[in-house]
Amino acid sequence: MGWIVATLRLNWANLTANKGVFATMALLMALQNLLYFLLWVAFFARISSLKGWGLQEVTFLYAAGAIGFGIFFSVLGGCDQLSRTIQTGQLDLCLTRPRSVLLSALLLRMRADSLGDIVGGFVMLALFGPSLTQLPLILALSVSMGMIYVAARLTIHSLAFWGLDDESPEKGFIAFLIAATNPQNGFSPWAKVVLLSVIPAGYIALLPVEILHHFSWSFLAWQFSASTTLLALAVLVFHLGLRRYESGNTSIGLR
Amino acid sequence: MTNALGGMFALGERFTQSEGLGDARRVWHMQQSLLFSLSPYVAAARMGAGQALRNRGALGSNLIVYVTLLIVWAAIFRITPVEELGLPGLTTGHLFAYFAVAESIIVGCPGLALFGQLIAEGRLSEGLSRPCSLVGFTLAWLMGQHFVTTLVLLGVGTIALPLLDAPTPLGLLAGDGALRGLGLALSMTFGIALMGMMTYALGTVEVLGSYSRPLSWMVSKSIYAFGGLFFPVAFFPPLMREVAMLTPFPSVIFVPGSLMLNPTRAGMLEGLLMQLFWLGVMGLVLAATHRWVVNKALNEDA
Repeated sequence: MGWIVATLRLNWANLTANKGVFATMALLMALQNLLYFLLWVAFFARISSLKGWGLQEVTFLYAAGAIGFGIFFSVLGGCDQLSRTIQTGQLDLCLTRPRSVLLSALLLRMRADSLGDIVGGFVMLALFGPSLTQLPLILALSVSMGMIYVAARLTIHSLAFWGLDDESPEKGFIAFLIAATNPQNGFSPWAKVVLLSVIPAGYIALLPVEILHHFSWSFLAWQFSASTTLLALAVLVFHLGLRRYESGNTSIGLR
Repeated sequence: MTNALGGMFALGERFTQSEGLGDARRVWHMQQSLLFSLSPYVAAARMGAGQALRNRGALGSNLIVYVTLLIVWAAIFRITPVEELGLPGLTTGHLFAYFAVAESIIVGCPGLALFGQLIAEGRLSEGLSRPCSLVGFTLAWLMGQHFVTTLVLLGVGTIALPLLDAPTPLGLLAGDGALRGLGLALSMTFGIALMGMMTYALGTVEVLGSYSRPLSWMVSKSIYAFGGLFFPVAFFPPLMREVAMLTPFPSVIFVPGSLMLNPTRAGMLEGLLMQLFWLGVMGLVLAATHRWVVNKALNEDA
């Protein structure tokens, strides 16, 4: 654990070395999330509901998703660069360390913009969200949603071990984000089955909203076991891919 | 092509010097001069288009993003009570076709931070050393890329929309025929040109420091929000609609997309004129930022 804390301290120092850029990135990310959310506010000013989903549900979807996303990706900032790290042979740097290769790769940097996601999420919740009495449940679901985001990004980026180029995985993750950040109650039952299995975006934009509406411990347990299982599967995919990794011999060094 | 036109230009000059300038020769000379002066921009646009087509990975991933958007939004529009918008004859299909056009422009964009990235890589002086306008060359290159990608996406959208029980852009255009088709082509070109201009203007901020990327997030989200990415500006609440209409963002996606909502001819013309107005304004902005960037680059060796 000591090396993780030391790495995080180092990353934090790097991140905040230029305080102006750090603050700008975080602030602008929060603002841009709020700006885009304005469109949903305009939408629900004219449309009463989407089959039972109103502004509160969409606010929860965006805010909890942003908080979960921010919590994980502000710390695991190497995740969105993982395919490039693999393709360019920079994973050598992590292999030289006597620690977990995956964690070393994910902890290569921290991201200020993801901290902005957290701030933006809380502002959305305060302005349009469900009642504050539900805050503990919302935060718990945020963590679970964040785990799904990490699992999806890690799995897609690990495909670089099988030759996927370094740009496509992030676009693939954006496609996942699109599915995960929009209301899903219009889908047919079969599509919902797909969203709760093959493309697990339903654990971000479907089941958590149901849990918020009709709380049950069994649904919550399902949500958390799904997010834990998916994260474990993503780690497994990474390690399966790692066996195929051939050193680039370009980036051997110590950090 | 540049060499061929250059040769033609030199030949015409020798011809006019030896024979004197008759009217026909003067016109011929002017045409060649114009072609010669435009050729770098035509080449830049062709280069951009070629890059967009050759980069199969990027094109494929853009297609995945676009098709995902269409699938997700087909499901959302299916449960949207459009009758609450109070526009007779409006169907969910109209909203979906609007979205397909608007998204093709957004997803097809090579990136609002692209020019800033080139400046950050120290390639500004490379651009300034070309014997043509940096603004024109960059715009032509960006537009070439953007135009081709958007066309591919919209082509796929046109095939995919009937599978999702939605009318296609072509189907909606059929009623009014060629005029609406021409309007859509012009309007999309103007929208793409506006995005290119915004990319250039945003990129110049990079000369001050690494701010162009976060600023490009703000501009892209402003285009989504005030341009009405999935909900047309015409249906916004009054105050928000008025604020949006004071910005150039509806001209990027709302105006082209609104051609899918059965506008009148007057409405279509109004939209095109609004786009031309913003193109003029952005042209002035670019002229000013270009001068500033050149001064900065020459004085501070950017």
